[in-house]
This record gives sequence, structure tokens and C-alpha cells, in this order.
Amino acid sequence: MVKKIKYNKEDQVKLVENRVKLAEDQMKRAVADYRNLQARVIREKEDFAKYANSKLITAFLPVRDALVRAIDHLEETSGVQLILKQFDDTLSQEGVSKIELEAGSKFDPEVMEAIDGIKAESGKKIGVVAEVLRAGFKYKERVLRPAEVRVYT
Amino acid sequence: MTKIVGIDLGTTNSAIAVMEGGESKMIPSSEGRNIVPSVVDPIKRVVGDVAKRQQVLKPEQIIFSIKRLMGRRFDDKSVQKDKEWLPYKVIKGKNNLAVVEVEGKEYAPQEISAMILSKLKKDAENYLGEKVEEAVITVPAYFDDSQRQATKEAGEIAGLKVKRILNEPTAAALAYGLDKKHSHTVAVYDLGGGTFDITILELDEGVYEVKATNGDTHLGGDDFDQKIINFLADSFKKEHNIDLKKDKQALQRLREAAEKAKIELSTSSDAEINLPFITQGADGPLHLVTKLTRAKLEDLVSDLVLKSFEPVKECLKDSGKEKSKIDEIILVGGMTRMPKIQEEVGKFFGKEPHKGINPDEVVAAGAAIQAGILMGDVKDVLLLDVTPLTLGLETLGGVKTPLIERNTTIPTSKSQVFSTAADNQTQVEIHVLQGERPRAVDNKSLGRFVLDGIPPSPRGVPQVEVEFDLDADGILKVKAKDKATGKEQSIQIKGATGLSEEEVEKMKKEAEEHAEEDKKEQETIEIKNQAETVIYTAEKTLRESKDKIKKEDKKEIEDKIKELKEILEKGEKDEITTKIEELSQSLSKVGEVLNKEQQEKEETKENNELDKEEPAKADPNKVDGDVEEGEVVED
Repeated sequence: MVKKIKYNKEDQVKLVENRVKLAEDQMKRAVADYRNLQARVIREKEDFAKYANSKLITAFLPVRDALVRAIDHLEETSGVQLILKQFDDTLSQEGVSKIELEAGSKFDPEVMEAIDGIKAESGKKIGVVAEVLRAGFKYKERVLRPAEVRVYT
Repeated sequence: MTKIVGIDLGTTNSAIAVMEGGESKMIPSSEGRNIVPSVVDPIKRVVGDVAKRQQVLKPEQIIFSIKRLMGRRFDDKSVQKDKEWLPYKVIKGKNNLAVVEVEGKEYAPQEISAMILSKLKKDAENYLGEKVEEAVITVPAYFDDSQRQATKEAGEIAGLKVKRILNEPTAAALAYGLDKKHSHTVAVYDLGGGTFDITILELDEGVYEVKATNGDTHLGGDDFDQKIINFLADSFKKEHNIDLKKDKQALQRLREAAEKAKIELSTSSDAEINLPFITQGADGPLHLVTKLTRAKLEDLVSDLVLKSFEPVKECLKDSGKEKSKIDEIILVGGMTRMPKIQEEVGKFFGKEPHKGINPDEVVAAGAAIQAGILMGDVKDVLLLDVTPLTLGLETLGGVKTPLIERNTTIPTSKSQVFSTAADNQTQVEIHVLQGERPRAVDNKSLGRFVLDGIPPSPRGVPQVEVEFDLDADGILKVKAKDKATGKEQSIQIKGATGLSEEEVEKMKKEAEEHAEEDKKEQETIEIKNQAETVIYTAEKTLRESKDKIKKEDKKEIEDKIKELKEILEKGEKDEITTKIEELSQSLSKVGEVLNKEQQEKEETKENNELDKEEPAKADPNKVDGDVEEGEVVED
């Protein structure tokens, strides 16, 4: 099956040259890959350290939401208010900040998620927040969870 | 040459990956996630999460599921059907093709898809720190020429040269490395967010051919979530007569809880749903607290799971294959994490499906591998092998000291500095070993050689650098060099990785089986080494300071040495430890006395010869190289 091909000297040199070129290219690429990887690993490490707690903090946020709802629903709330304050203080010590907004703020999809739209009555501007349904949070520069809002449409 | 990226342009989510060092790597989005929702605001050219957050507000402006319209004619049956439920406007465009209209402006599906691709491209460029100009993009196996053409155009609009349009199931098979096997038949079961695809592929001479494909364009993870939401809302309604689904805020909580429970139930048998103050009842606040078991979930979605097997049967029929002729099964799509689905698929084909690669990422990973093949990357880099077993050498007490750990990518080289075990030792034996066991004799001996001509000096002083160099062909070169004299000796061992698979497995298994006794054995060796060191120090002290030690102290130490030596023969670990301690105590007692004398002496010396101390500290040879505790055994 396999035919033996005879190469002359010139062809052989060419073949070898090609292989050397290929090998050089591969080596350069591997080294480049490695350098890039090194640089990125440093960046990723920094990011990892910076945002390592994201998942845990996000998992705790529903507990805060429940406290807020408890305050909305209960009559005597002074104790729960204090717990909520404790919660928020702890969050802010960890670099978590509440996305500041209120009814009347302009809807900003970078930090807010529209859950519902309601018809703007007269005197109300379209595209502004009618109600904040759930607070959103930023962790350093990243949006941990957008604020959930109801918007005038 | 810039990198070619692999892109999974999905109906619900998209993802991008790249080859790096012979392996695929997912590229995270600017939001820090590995997938980007395929949702676009064409007016503001916003893509992903930020567009998705406005969906409720601007249902006519936020475009999702655009893949359903790619390259289709307006009067296409599926377009007519999708038009009914898609909240945005689908109209007849140029050449009778389906296009979307937003605020009076027409957008071809290619343009919308191009916006998704642009975002992926930009994120990749930021991540890689270089321009990205070429891509492999995946499409469903059922895409016809015009749909493939449209996908290609989308790439070009986004400034990407599309090097290849790849079938999604083929990408999945590539990700699992199945293309390296002999001819075989693969079934790819792909249950995504909103669509289900089943494809039968046949690998022949390294090329995959689609034998048949089928599916359900409206079956996916979203339907599963909806089942849970309905169940929770219904039970709440029964109990409190309040419909949570009418309250958008409560519905949002339910949706989150349903998804969380679904994910939890893939790994545990029950999940608690706990939504305090979900709504206000007539008599005060109401809470939703309930348990969902895996069995209940499976019961809820059983019709959906069953539904997926209709197309599977059809597909098999079309391919003309018997179930038993399917060699490999691959699971794709987030929903296939559900144990019930894995089980049913396994049951249907009578074979365990492949899993292990993240089913959300497997298609993008496969696309990256195809891109790598086009770059000429994979073929060559993948040949880089790893050494299956640890390579090391024998050190004091018959211990194996590893130099190249197993699973190290080769070629590689490692070096370490060792020393002598006895005073005036003039030669060391380098015994090269392969295996995972801590005791030298339990490993495979690859060869040995002697380095001699080491100038006589106290033990631990000579520095012998041992270098292991394992090249890509598995040839191991071991070199030992005496740093003081520069004298060196080496050995070359061929086939250092050349064990058969069975041999490797056997050796690994042995290592695991003997792990416990090996540990004990090693501890005993360590204790014995410690004992010998103490004996050596004691004898040395007696020898060097015989005039300064009191007679009774000398006797005590000599006795203790004798006791320790005797016990050492019998090898009881605890007894040896006690005796070592006893001898050390006697020794430190004497040591204190000697130290005091020494100090007094040195104080006078220091006062006289302060300047002379400096150069000794700066001796560069001493700083260089760590001397390892376990020394090379004496020949």
C-alpha cells in the first residue's frame, strides 16, 4: 500500500525547513500563550480575591428581603428594624452597597430590573420608577443583584 | 495570527470559548458570567442581562429567541406559529424573509444576532487582550442552507470572519473527544432553556455525518420551571384562596424559588421553599413554607420528560439505526443535569450517557476545539503527554523522594539539591524510581548510578544537585552533580513513561491499597532516621568534647545510646520515640554546660576578632540551594 517516495537533497532540505518553521511557530505560540496566561492568571486571582464572597453574600440577601417584608407587614417593628440595620452595617463593612433609588428615579437597566409596568397617571413621567419592590446591591464595582422595580409606562 | 474563537449562538443563551494550551476555555462576559442571555435591545444596541431586565417594560422592543427566525421565510409554518406568541412584531421583509420591526425600523434576524456576536467578541477581546477576528459558530443540525447562510452573515456583520459553521451536536462530540475514537454512532440529547434537539451522528474516517435529527422547538427548562411555579401557586391557592400568580412581585419570588429548588433537587432529595411574608391575607401576613421532594418534582415533570422521547424515537427511526447500535450518548443543555433525565436517557438507550463537561458550556467548548483544529493548534499541542507515574529517587532510610510528580505535563525538568548521609562519604548512589509508594522498594526501579569523588566532609555539607529531565518522547535523563567539584554523572532511561495502561492502573491501585500501611512504614522510617541522627550527634559530642564532659554524664549518654541502638533493631515506633527523647534530654543537659563554656570563650574571641566574621557570612555557595533533609543514601 504505502509507496516509498524518493526525495532528492533539495526536497529534503525544504521538508526540514518547513518542519523547523512549523516547530518555531508552534513554540512561539506556546510561549505567547503562556505569557498571556500568566498575565491573566494574575488578573483572575485579583478578581477572585476581590469577589470571592459574591456567592455567599448573594445567598444571604433573601434573608434581608424577608426582614424588610416583615417590617412592612408587622405592627411592632422596632426590634426587627434593629436587626435590619445590623445586617446592612455588616454588608457595608464587606463593601456591599445598596443601590440608592426611590420612587421617581429614572429607570436604569444597568442596576435595575423591571418586574412590572403600570400605566402612568396624569402628572407621572413615563420611564420613571413607580415603586421599588426589592432593593438591589452592588459589591465593589459589580452589580450583585439589580433592584427590582415597578415602572410607569 | 490571531485566535479563532468558538461561539455557541443559542436560542436562550450564548457562550464563547477559546483554545488555550490545547484545552478549551470559557470566556467570561463583562458581567462575570460564562453565558450571556440571547436578548437584545436593537434601538440602544444593548445585549444580555441589561436588555433582559427591560423585557417587561418594552416587550415590543426587546428581542429574544431571534434564532427561531434566522434565515426563515415569513410564510414558513414555524414563523407563523412563533409570531403568535412572540411579543415583538415579526413582518415580511426583503425576499419574503421574516424580519422584526421595532419602532418602525426593520431589523433582519442577522442584524440582531450580530449584536449578540458583537458583545461576545468585545468581551473576548477584553479578556484575551488581543483582537478577535475569526470564529467558528454553531447551529442546530436541522438548520438548512439559508439558515446557515444567515448565521454566517450575522458573524460578518459583527466583524467576524466565520471560518466554519459547525453543527451543535458535532461540537458536543468534539468536546468529549469522541472524534479520536474509531468509527461509531453518537446520540446527542440536547434539552436547553426553550428547545429540545435529538441528533444521531455517525463518525466515519474522522468526519461526523448527521444521520437524523428531530426535536421539539417548544420544550425546555422554562417549561420545567413553570410546572414547579404552578404547583406552588396552586397549593397556596388551595390553602389561602389567594392566587400568587396575579401578584407580579410574588410571582417573581416564586420563579426564583422554583429555579433554586430545581437546581437543589439535582443534588439532594428534598428542597425547602421558604418565602416569608409572600403576601398579605385578610388576617395578616402569609408565608409560603413547603418542602419539595425530588420524587414530587419528577412526578410533576414526568409528562415533559416523556414528551422528549417521542422525537427521540422518530429520530432513531429516521436514522435507520437500532437503539443497540448507538455507541455513545451525550447530554447537552442545563436541564440534563436533572438526575431523572439522565436516568431515563440511560434507560432508553441501555447505556450510561457521557456527562462531566458543563452541559451549558459543552457546545461552545466543542466550537473552540474546532477553531483550534483550524488554527493547527490542537493536533500538535494535544500530543503533549503527561507522565502517568511519579519519578523520584531513593533517599536515606529507603524512602522514595519524588522529583517529577505524576500527571505533570512533559517535557519537563526538575532539580533538587541533596547531601550525604555520613561523614566523609565520598560517593552517593542515585537510584531512580517510578511509582506512587513511599517506600523505595515498593516502586519500580528504573536504574541506578554512582557519583563518586566527593571530597571528604561532614555529613550534610556536600551539595549534590540531581536533575531529572523528561523529554516529550518519555526519555528520562538523570544527572547528579557535586557542586563543589563540578564533577557529574548521568544516566539515560528510555521509556520512562512507557508503561502499558494496565501497568499504570495496577501501580496506582497498589498505591491506594497500601496507603495506610505505607504511611505507618514511612513514619517508622522517619523515626529511625531521627534516632540515627540523635545517636550520631551524641557520639560526635562525646568524641569532640570528651575532656569537658563529666564522667557520670558520659556514662549516662553512652548507656542511653546503647539502649536506643538495641531498640532500633526491633523497630517499635513508640519505644524508639521514648528512647530518643531520653537520649536528647541527657544530651541537652551536657550541651548546656558545653554551650556555656563555648560562649565564654567566644565572647573573648569576638572581642578580638570582630572583623574576621564578615566575609564568612557572605559566602555565596552557602546560600545557594536548599539542602533537603532526606539525604542520598550511602552506597
